[in-house]
Amino acid sequence: MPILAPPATAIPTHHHGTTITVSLLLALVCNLLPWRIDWLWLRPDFLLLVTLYWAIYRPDQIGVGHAWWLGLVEDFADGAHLGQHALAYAVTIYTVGLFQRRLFNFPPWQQALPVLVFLLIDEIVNLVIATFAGDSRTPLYYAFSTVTGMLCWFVLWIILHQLHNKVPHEKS
Amino acid sequence: MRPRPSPHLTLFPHGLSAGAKLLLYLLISILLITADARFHAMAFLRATGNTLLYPIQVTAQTPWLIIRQMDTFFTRQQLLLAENKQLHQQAINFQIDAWQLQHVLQENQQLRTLLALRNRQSLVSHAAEILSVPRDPYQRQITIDIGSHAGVRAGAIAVDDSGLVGQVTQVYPFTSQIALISDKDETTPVQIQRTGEHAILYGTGDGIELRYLPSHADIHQGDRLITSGLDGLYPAGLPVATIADSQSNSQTFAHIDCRQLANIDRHNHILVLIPAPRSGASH
Repeated sequence: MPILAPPATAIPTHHHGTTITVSLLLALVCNLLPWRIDWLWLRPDFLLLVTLYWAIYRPDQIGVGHAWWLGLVEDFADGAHLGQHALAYAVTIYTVGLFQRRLFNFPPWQQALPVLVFLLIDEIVNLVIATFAGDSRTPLYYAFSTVTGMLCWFVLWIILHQLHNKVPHEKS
Repeated sequence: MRPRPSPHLTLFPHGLSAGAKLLLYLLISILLITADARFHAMAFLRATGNTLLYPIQVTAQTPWLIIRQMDTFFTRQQLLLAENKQLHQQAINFQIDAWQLQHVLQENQQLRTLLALRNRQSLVSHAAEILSVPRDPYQRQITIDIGSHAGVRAGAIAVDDSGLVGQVTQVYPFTSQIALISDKDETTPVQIQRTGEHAILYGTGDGIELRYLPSHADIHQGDRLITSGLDGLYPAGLPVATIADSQSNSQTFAHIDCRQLANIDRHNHILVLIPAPRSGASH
């Protein structure tokens, strides 16, 4: 059961960024999927989740700078204020960086709670920026998307771990 | 540049520390947000970014298109026949209506020329498909698949088969964005169909409401709201919403919640109405 006790703690570095790029692109595509308006408050931010994953497992590849640019792409996709998601992503990934060593060794069910906190940080930064930029009256139930995001974390973790460890991994 | 990635995690990375980087990006973000939100100076960057995103948006749409095509492919013939018959009947009915309408339009035009009123502007309609609905709860906006190439202009209005959807706010070469009438910046001049009273419909971000009507206004649940055409932007008579709930407690103004008639969740196609170039100024 890899989800309960992941086999290795060594950081594999022997494959290049293709997996990362492709997974981030796919996450963006997921974010762009048409979604029923009534259920928008349930929609998790896939791009942020995948960025979180790589920030935890490949901190040498995905850092604050990359997160900022990815956030900018999300701004374009959402039609939000340019820089809104960029800043939120950068702050979130910076926080991830503070706890990266610990998170790296956690099994996914233990990562879930910190992931929820990271998604909330993203949500709060977004809320603050939107409020400062003049948007008001945000329905609070949109914060619920962080919970669906946390649930998606398990699925994403399994998929990405498969991709991540596909390249030679002598154990097991 | 940055050193070649080593086979191990670097304990002491070179370059800026993460905190310094964050500070730098924080400053850039604040500059960007200010330039965008306060001065609207980022139109070009936005257009470029959206054009680059367009292929990805189309890719995201493809699986649904294929599923929908498969779905329609396996529709039973009987169903099609029944539907065909019904549509035929409807077409005949519409044709009769259209004849009458034409007659009325002609009459109306004559009367208007007699009264020296401005002719109503005719509209060109473009069918469009909804590409994506943004995740951001602060924006009640949708992206559609036609843009300035198809002649869409900012300010054009969007309708579906049951009512007003919203207004085009951003136009890019191949896509454009529509603010729904429930967007918090949107206001729509409306008229209560039953009484003819004028009012303004405000989007609140998660719904729509009528504001500034006195609490003794003659309003019932289920009343239909249509565009009044007073602002010269929306043509008059488009169905917009119905009254969902009106509470007239002792306040000066009634609090009236409305329900939007257009239902963009049900289907992916909408019409964008663009004012046709005026053929000749009327006196």
